[in-house]
Amino acid sequence: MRNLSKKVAIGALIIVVCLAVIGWVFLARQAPQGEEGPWGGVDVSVIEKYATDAGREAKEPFINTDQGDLLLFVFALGGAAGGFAAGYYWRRLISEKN
Amino acid sequence: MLKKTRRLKRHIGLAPVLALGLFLLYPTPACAMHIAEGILPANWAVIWYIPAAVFVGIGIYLIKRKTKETKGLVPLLGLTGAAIFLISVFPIPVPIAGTCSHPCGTPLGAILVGPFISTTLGALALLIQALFLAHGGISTWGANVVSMALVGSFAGFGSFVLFRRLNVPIFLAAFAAGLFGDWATYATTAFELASALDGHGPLWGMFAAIATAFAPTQLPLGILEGLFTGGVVSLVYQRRPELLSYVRRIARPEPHLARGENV
Repeated sequence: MRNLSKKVAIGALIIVVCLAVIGWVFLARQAPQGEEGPWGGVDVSVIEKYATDAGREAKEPFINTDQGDLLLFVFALGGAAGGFAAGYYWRRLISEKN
Repeated sequence: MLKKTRRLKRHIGLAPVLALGLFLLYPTPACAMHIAEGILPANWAVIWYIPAAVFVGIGIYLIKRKTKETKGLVPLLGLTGAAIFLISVFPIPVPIAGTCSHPCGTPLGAILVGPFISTTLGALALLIQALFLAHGGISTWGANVVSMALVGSFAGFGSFVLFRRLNVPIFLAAFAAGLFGDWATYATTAFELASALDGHGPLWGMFAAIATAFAPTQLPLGILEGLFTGGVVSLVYQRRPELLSYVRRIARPEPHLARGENV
């Protein structure tokens, strides 16, 4: 009985994943493209598209770092700081025995 | 010497204020990820702030209580917070669909530190992204917290517990957590948008349209997030099983073990 519930759960998971892959392949050609063109984020191609259609426009952020290469800089800074913190704590948790 | 140190501290304290001033002085239009600033009407923005504030508050209380009880929790919180921040800001290109989106990281966080604390860490990550990375917005922070931090954490944790209760191996249970946590997050975002913008059509019709638009990108990303979550949770469980001691408790013991017999 317990083995059965485990098999049913794993089977259901496999079916869901297969359906997701089929859905992805079938729906991929209908994926909305935003103003950014190919490889644009769903924020623009989906969220902002539907918002604009409903008469709502995105406003500029409170602190606007999306200017020139400034966004690249803050992304690199955030990635480096986050990566350092993740690596440091991973080492403390996994590598150090005490 | 003391005076110099004080003067130095004052200058260091002024630096963030100056940096903030520089950022505010030169605003130009921007396209942000998550639900961007100004997209939700004020009443809906306030409504989503309420559940976000309640769950974040509970998470803060639990962090305070648990860090007093368990000293070793701080590195785990640091790792989880950094992981959620990095994962949720990492754009991943989706082949065939030709779009980009990002995973959530909160299902993984919920398995590692629990859903309430994961909600708080996710909210903090979203706040940093809204303030400095032009991702999301301050007015839409509540809605983004509800979709990514709250629903992502609880859907992921719920899936993990359910699959472990059915004695599914840890990797597959964590895979299910990542998969359903990711999809639940984007379903919630679709609902938030549909409910705020439904003046132009029926709510569920708009929800279905937005969710279908998300599908080509999020269906494969959910699978990817599931694989990543499964891999990390399995690795942590192999190397430091005591960090996930509850995982053994939620899986029902095999009948012969419950009777006290050896394998």
